[in-house]
Amino acid sequence: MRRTWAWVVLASLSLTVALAGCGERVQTIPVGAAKKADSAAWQITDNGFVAPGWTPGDEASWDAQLKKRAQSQNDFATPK
Amino acid sequence: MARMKFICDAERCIECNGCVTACKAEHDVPWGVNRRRVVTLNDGVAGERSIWVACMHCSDAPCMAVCPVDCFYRTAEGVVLHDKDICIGCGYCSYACPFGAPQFPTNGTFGLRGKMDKCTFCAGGPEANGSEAEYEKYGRNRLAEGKLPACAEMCSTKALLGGDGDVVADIFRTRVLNRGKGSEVWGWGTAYGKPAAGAPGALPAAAKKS
Repeated sequence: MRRTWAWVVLASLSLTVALAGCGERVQTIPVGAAKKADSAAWQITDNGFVAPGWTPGDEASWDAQLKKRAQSQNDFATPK
Repeated sequence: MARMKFICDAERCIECNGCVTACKAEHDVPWGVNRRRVVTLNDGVAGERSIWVACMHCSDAPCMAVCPVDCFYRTAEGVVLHDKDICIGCGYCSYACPFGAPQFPTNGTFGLRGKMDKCTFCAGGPEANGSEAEYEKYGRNRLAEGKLPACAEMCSTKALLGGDGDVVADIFRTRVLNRGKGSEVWGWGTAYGKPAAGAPGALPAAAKKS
């Protein structure tokens, strides 16, 4: 009986080691995969975290928003 | 068109690692991967200096040049990004990068090297802006939300400047001129030049010390 248990434990351990490799994520490149075109940063994002003060979809507005926001890093900027 | 750049002000960095933490938290960066880190030179010696190290979004990026599967691309704002669906995790970019920016998660069993991960300037990846798929692979796309990178926006001493290259260069130039030191180093004039009249951050004549 004890011997049987020893075999069961040994078999379980062997299976655990042997099957460990099966847990890896598939990383193969899908057939026909090509570099995707990225959309511009100023294009509309609809995730609920968009900062107020600019118009999503308007490049000039986005540009101005980032420039304005960058001034928060400027200790010497005159408060407006 | 904005041209995104980072600048590190070594006179201000206090090695708090706040930028590292902000980046980790903002993008749910996996254990073992550091898109950003802080390096201290002459640690413990008077006059030690700390700087952060991350992807500098090079204008002529060596990672792009050596990638055998051409997974890198540059956005209109000059941010160097990559497509994880194309990346094969070979590590060539890691050898080519002078900053050690490319990181490789331990993926699966036996320490298998996963697909490359690096700073995205909080600009996500090629998936739809702000989508779940983009977040899963690259983290938040703060630029598309009208925000600057999390590391730059939360830096307590404002040592980490990020944003449009012209704007952050103006801010840095103003600081250096106010300090009265730093502008004497070789190449400073070439890099930062003279502030244009009326440019954001330009010093009033009375405040100039050099």
